[in-house]
Formats: sequence, structure tokens, C-alpha cells
Amino acid sequence: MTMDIKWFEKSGNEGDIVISSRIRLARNLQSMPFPIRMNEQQKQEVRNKIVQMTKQSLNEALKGLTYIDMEQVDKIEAVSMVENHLVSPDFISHTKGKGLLVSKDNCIAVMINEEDHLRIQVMKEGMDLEAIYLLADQLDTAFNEMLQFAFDSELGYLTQCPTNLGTGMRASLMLHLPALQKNGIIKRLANNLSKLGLTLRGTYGEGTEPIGALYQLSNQVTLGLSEREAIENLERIVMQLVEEERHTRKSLMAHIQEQDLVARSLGVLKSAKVLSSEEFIQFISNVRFGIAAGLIQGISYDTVNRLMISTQPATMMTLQGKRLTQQERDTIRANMVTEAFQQAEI
Amino acid sequence: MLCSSCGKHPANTHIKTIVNGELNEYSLCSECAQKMGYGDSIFPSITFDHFFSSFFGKKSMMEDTLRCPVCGASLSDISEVGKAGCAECYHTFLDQLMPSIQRMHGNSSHIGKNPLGTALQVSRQPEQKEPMSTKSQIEQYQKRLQQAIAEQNFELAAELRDQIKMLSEKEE
Repeated sequence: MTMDIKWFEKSGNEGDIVISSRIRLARNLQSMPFPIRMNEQQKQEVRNKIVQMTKQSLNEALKGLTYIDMEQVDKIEAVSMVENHLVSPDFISHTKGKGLLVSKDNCIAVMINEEDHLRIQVMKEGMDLEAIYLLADQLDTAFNEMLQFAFDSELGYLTQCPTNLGTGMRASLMLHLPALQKNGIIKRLANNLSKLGLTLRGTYGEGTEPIGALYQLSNQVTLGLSEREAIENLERIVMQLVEEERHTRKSLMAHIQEQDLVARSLGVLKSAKVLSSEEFIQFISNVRFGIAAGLIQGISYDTVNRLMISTQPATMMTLQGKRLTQQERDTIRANMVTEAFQQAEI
Repeated sequence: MLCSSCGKHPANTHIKTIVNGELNEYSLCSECAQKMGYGDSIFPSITFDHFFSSFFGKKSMMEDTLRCPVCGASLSDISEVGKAGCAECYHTFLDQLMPSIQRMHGNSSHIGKNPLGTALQVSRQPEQKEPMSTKSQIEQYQKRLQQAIAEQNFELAAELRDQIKMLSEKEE
């Protein structure tokens, strides 16, 4: 059996900094209340309608999507879906009436009855917003051929949360910004970005210093700005961020302390016997930085990106097919990592 | 429900995160949410809840009696969670919602993709709907009151009783 390679097992454009790109479109059926005011029967009705129509559709865009009834998914697997960035934490908290249409490479995930009736999500490795928007747009059009969406000429697509009115489109990029974080520029930067209608937030952990220096940059304004404008705006700003991060990395890496930190982190990942999830994210962040600086050879971004997903707790348990204690996980994680890092060297 | 962090203020931000392979859910007040980095971004800014509460702070009882004809949501239902109940809510409460929408997105209207088929018009309203007479509104509430009592939903029943009382006073 050939395994389908998932997007998160690869790296893409500007892969030293941009880990992934995502587009999400919020859509609702005209004739139904939004999920917050739907009863179970209505949720089932919406779900059945969307799933049936998708199965019967001859549209190319919808072919190859597999349906998953979220009520049938066990808890650990559901959490693993969140760890894989396939669905939101919100989506798995109450699974009654929820469904998911997903492509084999996990690039496409259509959430049914999340905050809106439909959340069309397309994700890909690296910086690739234009291509994934095109795909999301095709999917949207394909659904719209079968379903009537709630829309108003002034307010645009009508969504449960008014923050999504207009295009209903949220575009975001996952960024690795260790140098800007260390320099302390991030906070000022985030304030400026919010003035430009963008949001920067941490991917893991709370507060202003997220673990592993992983950030999510996304558009905030959806009304009065076309999809294309919003994407171009985001791309332009992210390229500036990328340049600034690269520049800062160069001057940081000139310091022996920084090189030492990278070398020690590699040492841990090459030889640890027990490795917690948080430790791993911290060390892999330093190593990623080292690969970008040309300090570390023998390991690719592809492998790094794959490990960042496959070593997450619920994903490990799903892959192993059983419940594991934290200690068991930390041991297995150390094994997975040391094996992948065998060839890596300074 | 009170904030699970400080236990003092009402919780209005519901957080769901994955920690160590498990789904954690808790409810925070906006202050604690902001402190713990769960505002709209990790950096201080006005959260969505603030938007709404600042606009609906002085909500009158009258606003509570107006309900969306499709989903039955009142303005306070919408402002409490910051979410509309259905597409028609945007029609019913357009005037009240518009200030918050403009604060979020600026004073603008939709540009971009349009769906196929006919669009629902909520912003412009060529035909003004006949406002429901107080009498028929009271009748409607009374029906719902009976139902609420039958379902032993006393909280709703009390709310409805208050509204009926207020409407009858208004009618007199």
C-alpha cells in the first residue's frame, strides 16, 4: 500500500521561514439558522444535504474528497486532527452533527457545522497563497452550484460571527520567526501589523513568546477588500517580514553564543533518550534556525516539518494505535527524533 | 458562568486548546483572557466582546423584545456571544449591529466574489415590513410562555412573563 504524502511532510517556497499557507472560506446555507441556533435535527439535515450533494456532484473539484462523520471519530484521533492543522479545536469539542470532507493529502478540509455551515479550508506547505486560493475558490463555486449561500450585496457572505462578513475569507501563514522573537521586535511589529489589518499570534503556548517561535499571520478585515487584494496585501507584508527575519538571523548567527545554542540543540535531538513535546519544539526551532544559517547539514526541512507534526502527543498515539502514558510518549518521541537526526551534523 | 481564572467576572471568552494531546476547555472573562494571551491576538487590543458590550452597554428592555422572525434570537442573545443566529438577524438588527461591524471592518461594503443565483438582500430594504402590533406580540409571547412552562424551562418563562408584563403596560 502506498502512503499518501501529506502536505505537512514537505517544505515549500520560502521554506526557511514560511512553514505553511492556509485559506479558509466561511459559507452558510440561506435557508437555515447558523449552527449556534440549530437543533440537532437541523444540523443532521445540513450535514446530510452537503454530503449527499458532494457525493453526487460531477464537479472535478469535489472528487476525491472522503467523508468523515465526526461523531464516529474517537477522542484521540480527533485531537490528532487538530495537531495536524486539519480542523480547529472548536470543531472537535462537541462533535454532534459535525462532518468533515477531506482530501488524501490533507490539503483540503471542509468542516461542516463548525462555526458556519461550511468552512472550506485549503492548506499547503510553504508560501503558496495564490494557488491555494484558486483551489478554495473552485471548491466554493462547486458547492455553490448545489447550495444557495446566505449573501447580501452590501455585507457580502453572511457569517455567524460578524468578523467574517464580506469575503468570509481568512488567509494565514505559519511563520518561524526565532530571530525577530529573540530581538524583541515582534511585539512592536505585531502592533504595527494590527494597524494594517493583520493579526500575528503564537501557534503554540500562551503569551508573547510562543514556544518554538512559531507564529500565525492572518488578515483581519474581510469587508470592503476583495479576496485578491487581501491576499496581495498579506503576501507583500509577509515578504517584508521574511526579509527582516533573514537579515536579523544573519547578524544573530555571527555570535558564538547563538551558534553554541544551535549546536547544543542538535546534540540533544541526536542523542536524547527522553524528550517532552515542549522540549522538542524548542530544540527543533533552534535546529531549524541552524539549518537555515547553513550551520547544520544532513537533515532537510521536509524531515523537520514532518517531525513537528508526527511527534505531537495525540498523533503519536494515533500512529501507534494505542493509548500511551506521557513517559512512554517521551521515550518514543526521543527514538523517532534521534533516528531522523542520525545523518545530521554541524 | 464566572471566569474560571479569577472567579469574579462573568466569563465571555470560551477557550478550547490542545495541551499534551488533550482538548482543554475553559471560560474566561475578557480581562483574564487578555492577560493569558487569548485576546484577539497575543498582543493587547480590543477584543470582540468589548466591541459589543460597549455598544450594547445601555441596552433597553425594548431591544430585548425585538426578536428575529426566523431564528428567534434577540439582540442580547447576539451580543452575549458576539454571533448572529441566522442570515435574517443581520436584517432584523442591522441598525444595531452596524456600528460594531464598522468598527471591525471600517465603513465599507462588500467587494469581491458574489455567489451564483439570487442574493438575499438584507441591507437595502425596499419594502418596509409591517411592525408587529403589541397585541399580537403579547399573544405570541403568551404562547411561548405556555410552552416554556410545559417544558419546565422556568428561566425562559420568567423572562417571557416580564416581557408580557412590560408589553401590556405599554399597550395601556
